[in-house]
Amino acid sequence: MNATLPASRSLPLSQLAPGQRAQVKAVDASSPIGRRLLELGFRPGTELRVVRRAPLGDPTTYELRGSRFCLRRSEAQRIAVAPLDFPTGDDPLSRA
Amino acid sequence: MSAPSTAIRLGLIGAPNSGKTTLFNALTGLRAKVANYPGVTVERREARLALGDRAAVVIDLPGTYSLEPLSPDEAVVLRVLDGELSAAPDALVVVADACSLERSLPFVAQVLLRGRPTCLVLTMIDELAARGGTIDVPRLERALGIPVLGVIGHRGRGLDALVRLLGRPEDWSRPVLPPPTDPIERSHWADSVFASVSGVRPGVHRLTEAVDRVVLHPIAGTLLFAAVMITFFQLIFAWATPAMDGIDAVISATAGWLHATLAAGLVVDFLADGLVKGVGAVVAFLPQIVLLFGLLYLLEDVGYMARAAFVVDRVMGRVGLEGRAFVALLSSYACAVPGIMATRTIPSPRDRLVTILVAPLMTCSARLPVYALLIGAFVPAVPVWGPLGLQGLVLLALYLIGSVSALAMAGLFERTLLPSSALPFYLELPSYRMPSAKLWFSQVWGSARAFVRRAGTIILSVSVVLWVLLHFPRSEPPPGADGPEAARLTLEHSLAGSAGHAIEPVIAPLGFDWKIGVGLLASLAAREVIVATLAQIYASSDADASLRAAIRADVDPRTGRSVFDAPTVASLLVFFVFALQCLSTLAVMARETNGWRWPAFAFGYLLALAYAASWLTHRAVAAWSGAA
Repeated sequence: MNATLPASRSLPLSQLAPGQRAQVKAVDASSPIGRRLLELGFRPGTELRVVRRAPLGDPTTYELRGSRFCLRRSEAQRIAVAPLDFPTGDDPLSRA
Repeated sequence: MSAPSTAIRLGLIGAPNSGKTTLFNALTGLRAKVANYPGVTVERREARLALGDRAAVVIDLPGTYSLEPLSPDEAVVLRVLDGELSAAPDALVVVADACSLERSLPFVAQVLLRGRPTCLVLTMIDELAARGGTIDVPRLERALGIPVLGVIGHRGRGLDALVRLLGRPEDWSRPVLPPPTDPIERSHWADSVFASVSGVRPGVHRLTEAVDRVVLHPIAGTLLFAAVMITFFQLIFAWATPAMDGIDAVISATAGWLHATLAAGLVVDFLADGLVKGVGAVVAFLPQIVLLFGLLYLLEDVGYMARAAFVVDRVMGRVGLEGRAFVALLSSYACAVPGIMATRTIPSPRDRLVTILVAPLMTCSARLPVYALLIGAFVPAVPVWGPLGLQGLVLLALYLIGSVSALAMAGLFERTLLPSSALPFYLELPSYRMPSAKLWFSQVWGSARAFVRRAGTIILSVSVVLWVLLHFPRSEPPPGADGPEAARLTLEHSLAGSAGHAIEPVIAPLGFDWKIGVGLLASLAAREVIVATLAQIYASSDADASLRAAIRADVDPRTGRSVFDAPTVASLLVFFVFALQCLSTLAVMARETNGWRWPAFAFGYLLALAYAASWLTHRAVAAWSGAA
């Protein structure tokens, strides 16, 4: 992940760091898993926040539309998002 | 008075964590009948109640986020709506958490498309207010075209209005236009409805945020998880023991009183040793079940169990199971009966079934007396490394073999028997909530009652049958035979004794003779019974030192070799690691999976595994000790 990415460029949700906010850009509605993610509220236009990862690194909790959902990396990869801002600090990767 | 046939059938439908079950309990109290839908491990909960002057049946449909099923288990909701599994509901009550209305609206649309009279109940409106959110309910009613009502289920607020509403489904307004059928259009429809009714979106739940910072912290959260799991383990392994010993004492005293009061003979033997002890075998599980479910439902109602699942998901996900299976498997270290019952909190019926199938592999406390006898008699107490002795290492190895096999079999079943590649994983973390004592009590009470009524009756009848097998036909002891000797003769000539001789050719390759065969048959009642049975066969008065000496000294008259030689002892230990030698477990499996198909499968695969592993162990140890 690179801090200089243009904000309009979308990337998989699984690549966001805890604390980051993003807007859902696309979910593949042709697969049953994609449709279920849509039904859980991961709809294009939805704003979400990466809350935290589990102690062992997977799954990750996301907050959206008043609920907190945990997704494993394999599901989060199916959701394309555009980051809205970075958490305080210059580079999210350098944060301890 | 309405006749039962005119009772209105109301289906409560909504997402897991929507407060649906709390609402169901608040409406119906302890009247709920819990069963399974045919052919699936999905619970069916119904209750009759009076709504004003109308009789009604309220059906608590399984929690679901969608009416587009991804698995046969999820399809249950749809099949109930279609009237395939029971009479179809006449009207539908969609239950949604007021704080996640935005997310729930597409689901409301799916339900509206069914064309039944529908109303919407928003739960936890107190939490919505606490988080600063508002919803314009009259506007929501107009936008959806159906009645909408806000309640606080666990406080019973709004229930009177709800009862009045539910009693008159024919008066409910219906939508003028159905919502869109296309999923993308439907989500736009949901967004526009929400935009028109939501004044202020609920903010984050501050308490939940604050608690989660600790509870899900990489270090503090892991330590808390470990502490909770140790508490579960201690609860059924140690803290249930005084109550179980108390029950045991009452049962023994009752049996003793019967022997002392009534004339000696077959009837009193049956009453005291068959019936009363059989009842004892059932009641003895209750302390474990009540304690386990007391804590489990408390943590579930507070909101911790979903967090525990989040913390261990990575570990359990390796074998295809979800985090909640951890509690069930851990509880099975004490006893598979409460462990299997604990799978009820696993939302996916598929994961639940796999967990049930492998739970008997976790080394339960009933195996300990067997291990203690064999290890104590045959494994030398020599130090290996520091305080670790050889006996302790053997015991540890037996625990490890069981646990690793359980996880390996779970992985195998997830990949072969019930492949799951199409199912996504998602877990909702509900806000922390103050649990309701009434709801908690009805859950714990319901579990204990279900165990006694469904599994208890099977355990009792099987105990009685086993008693008959071990005592019939009666043989007259020869004059001069003392107590232990007479008991030995009764057992040897009983049906079980004959069966032990009959299965000898089958178990001989494992190194077992007919005496071990009788012990294995008797241990079906409970694994530790093999110790008492062997004590009876060897006519030893106590199950400790003299039995150890007796089995060490036993020599096969045909071969002149020890009956319990090293290969046989190793093979018997391994047999107990794998075999499902426990009718109570089978009975509770039958109750939880609604039939004998899965218990029969579990018994079969574990017996095959036990036989193969024991045979290999016997051959390996024989070859090694022959070479040594």
